[in-house]
Amino acid sequence: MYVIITFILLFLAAAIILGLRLSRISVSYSWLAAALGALFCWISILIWQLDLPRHFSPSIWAPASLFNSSPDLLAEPYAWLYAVCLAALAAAVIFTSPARTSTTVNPAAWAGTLALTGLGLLAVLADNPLTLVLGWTAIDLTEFMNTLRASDSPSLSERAVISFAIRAAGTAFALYASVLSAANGQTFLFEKATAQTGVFLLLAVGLRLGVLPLHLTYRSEPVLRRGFGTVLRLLTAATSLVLLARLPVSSINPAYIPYLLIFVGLAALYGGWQWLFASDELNGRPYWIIGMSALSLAANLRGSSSGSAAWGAALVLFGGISFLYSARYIWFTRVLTGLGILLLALPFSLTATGWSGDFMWPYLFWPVFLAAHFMLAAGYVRHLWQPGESQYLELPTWAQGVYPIGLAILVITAIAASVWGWAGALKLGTWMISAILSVLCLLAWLAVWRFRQFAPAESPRLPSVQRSRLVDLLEFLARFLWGVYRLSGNLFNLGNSLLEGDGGLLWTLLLLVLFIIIYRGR
Amino acid sequence: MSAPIVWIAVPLVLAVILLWLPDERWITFLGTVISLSLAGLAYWLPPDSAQRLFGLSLRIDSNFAFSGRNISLTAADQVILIIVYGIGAFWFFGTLATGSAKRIIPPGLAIIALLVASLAVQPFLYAALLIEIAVLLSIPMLAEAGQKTGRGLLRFLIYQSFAMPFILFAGFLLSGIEAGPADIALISQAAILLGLGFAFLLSTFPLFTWVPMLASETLPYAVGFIMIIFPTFSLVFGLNFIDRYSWLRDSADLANILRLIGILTLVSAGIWAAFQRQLGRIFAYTAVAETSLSLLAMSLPDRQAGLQIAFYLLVPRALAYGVWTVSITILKRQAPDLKFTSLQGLARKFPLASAGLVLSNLALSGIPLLASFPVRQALWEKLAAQSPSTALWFGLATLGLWAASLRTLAILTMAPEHTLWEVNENWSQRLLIGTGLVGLLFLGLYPQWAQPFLANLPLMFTHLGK
Repeated sequence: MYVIITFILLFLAAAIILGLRLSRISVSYSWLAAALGALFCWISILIWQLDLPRHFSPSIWAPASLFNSSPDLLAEPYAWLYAVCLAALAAAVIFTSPARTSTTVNPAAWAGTLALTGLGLLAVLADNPLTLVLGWTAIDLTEFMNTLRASDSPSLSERAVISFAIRAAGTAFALYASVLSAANGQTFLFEKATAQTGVFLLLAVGLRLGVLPLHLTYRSEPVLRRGFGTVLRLLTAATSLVLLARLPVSSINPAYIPYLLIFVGLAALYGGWQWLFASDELNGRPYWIIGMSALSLAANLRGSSSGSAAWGAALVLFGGISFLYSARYIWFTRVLTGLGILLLALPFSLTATGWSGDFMWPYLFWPVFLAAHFMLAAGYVRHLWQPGESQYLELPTWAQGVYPIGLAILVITAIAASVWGWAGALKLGTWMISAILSVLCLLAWLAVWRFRQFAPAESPRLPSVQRSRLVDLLEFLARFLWGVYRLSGNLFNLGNSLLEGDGGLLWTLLLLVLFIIIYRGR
Repeated sequence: MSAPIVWIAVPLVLAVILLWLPDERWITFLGTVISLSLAGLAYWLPPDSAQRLFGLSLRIDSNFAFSGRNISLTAADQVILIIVYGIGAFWFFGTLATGSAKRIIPPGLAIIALLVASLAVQPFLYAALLIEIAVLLSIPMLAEAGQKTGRGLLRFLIYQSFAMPFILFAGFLLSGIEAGPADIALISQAAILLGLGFAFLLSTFPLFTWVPMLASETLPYAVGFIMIIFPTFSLVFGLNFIDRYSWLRDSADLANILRLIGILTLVSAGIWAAFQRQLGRIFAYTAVAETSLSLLAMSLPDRQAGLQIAFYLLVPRALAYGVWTVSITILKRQAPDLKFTSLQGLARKFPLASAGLVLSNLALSGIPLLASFPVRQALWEKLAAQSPSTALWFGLATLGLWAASLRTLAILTMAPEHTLWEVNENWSQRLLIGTGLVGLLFLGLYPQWAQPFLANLPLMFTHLGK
């Protein structure tokens, strides 16, 4: 019941905004509708806790002789965690939007934020792979259309297509996992994922997130900056990561785990490094997503679903804070920096379970992921202390009133999720790791305070070198694959010209005769 | 009144009358209304059943004798009548956006009527002759007026005509088999001839070369009509054969051959589609792949599920072909040809046509959320249960079709810098494509719409339906 109320609120608010826009009524009413819709949606998701778990079937596919499964939704604690994070993000985006009015006042973006959040909620509530791929595709198409609408350069359009293609490939892996399951005579459900199918699901998630294999579709995204762009990027990541929390431990063949961990570890290090030294938080956004997603994947590979969900939630909430905090105020910066301790896997924090489970080769992998974790947390703090787009005190009075509410929603959600509502709440976690991390962060803070090494003006040089290497490598790989594709294309075109040319009829008949001879000879 | 007069003779006569109407709009509206009425009538008053209207009892008899031959449309044919006349109405209405109503509707209506006759005629081997007449009638639709006949059209004529002698000769042998079913050599010869006949008719590997040739040289909307109507009837014709002859139906080899030909056709079409640089040709290979899906469905050991899948595929296929070819026709007017180089960046000027083209392409590639996905996934999973290697090839072919869709998407969206978005489609085009896209989405999310139709399939095939 509460779940349905949430969806009604979201789509009602989006419809009201569109109605107000069509009737050309003042933009402020649209903002009010969006803000109230998002706020009530967030509150309604908190109330889901009264009625968990709850199962829904929005559409029963028939005949049953053809369709093994139908779209099913399940509100359970992990889905709740991701849902509350996404709703908080949507509310934060709308409440903080007055601070960005100098650049954009766009009711369509608010309606889009609400509608996209609705799709995101459908995806995180997915109870089977079928529902999840439907949700993924809806989100991918929405993202693609928005990126395209906002872009005015051919290169960005090309990137949008590549990104869509890579995500579609991820979806294809998930579909193939479903087919493999059917080959074994099973209906494909998350809890029934086997070692044979689980690896394809993991590849699907890795590919969609840019972690497995490591790749970067959007090197820069000037048209989708804060606001809607943040929702789009973080929601896409969250709806992919939610799958990890639902997979059983037995779904990955232990023989593959070390190799997968090597790739994931490299992605985590790369993402952490680039995030730490990015020129600003928006340029570092793709790396934040890669780094945090890699930590989530690593937790899953250690068999920790709650750890994976913890990193996924932190990706959305702390990413949201970092990307939406555009109007700076020293006290906000201090509070948000203090909140960063929830990122350090300390006991009873959001990420307390982030280090649960054991690595296969601990001496190799612990330092790698520890370093990545440290860089991601340090990068979060570093970006908070950089000059923002504007100053809070220069905002209009009403904007000064609502802007902190947006940030507060994210903060409240992070604190609430640390202590309540899901399997990873109120946990002691791996205190040794958090102690090491805390010491590292303290030392780093002291070093910065003492030596001022991380002055923003000096930082951009380093990432440009690092990034270009990866980009060069990726582009070399892309050129190589394109060459192979063109060569194959030429071969097939030669075949085409033979079959469609003057002698085509004879060639076709020859092929037909050969085919019959081969078949009869079997 | 008998059913053959209602669903065969009446549309044939009306097709001739439509040919003489001067106004294209009138042809569109009348053609659509006629076709829709025939579909509606098949739904409301199927042959051999009675309905009361204004106190009168209405009934349509199933049989009609003509020239010593019996033509019979029974209640079992209700599903196919609704589907084909429904497709006809949808297609004819589309000429409002694409033009060329006079070129498409009168021959189109006559083709549907003749192909319905091919299902109804007894003995049913005469169907091959009726199909051949329908092929000949499609020439005015496909030939460009005042231009030299293209090689694709000639090859279409040759390949479709080749089917007739094979099937007739197989029929001749089959009459011998009915008399003495133990004659293995005769059965083998009949099976080979029948296989060849249907391979030509359904344009399987390697006999599909005429499809891309035709699609690249003539009106895309007309090619779309041909590619939905002919394979549909050929498929039903083929199913009638399998249903009728127990030696064929019970043959252990039939499923293997269908699966082998189906997957070969699907893989070759998928791979070739991935390397095309012309929209018409991509459509053609996708259409070939669609026919192969029906063959793969027929190869399933669960015959009823196979039938359901083969028939289920028809409606999403017709819708996607319609949206696709309307969109191509709109874009073709803005560019000298349908090559990628001529179409670059057109999405900014014709966003709806571009969306229609790409989404219908993606729908037929089996992308989730869109029309073909549920049934295509069901087929893929059922094939995997039979043969994992076939399922793997199925996946590769699907990737080829996805690649073709994504390349099209990339080309259409790559406009020069700072090109503004415009909507240049007219209202009828917007309405048609918009409705089609909503339909593609609806069919993808609610596949249960087809259940009432699928429930009637066992009536249509005496043995296969059981």
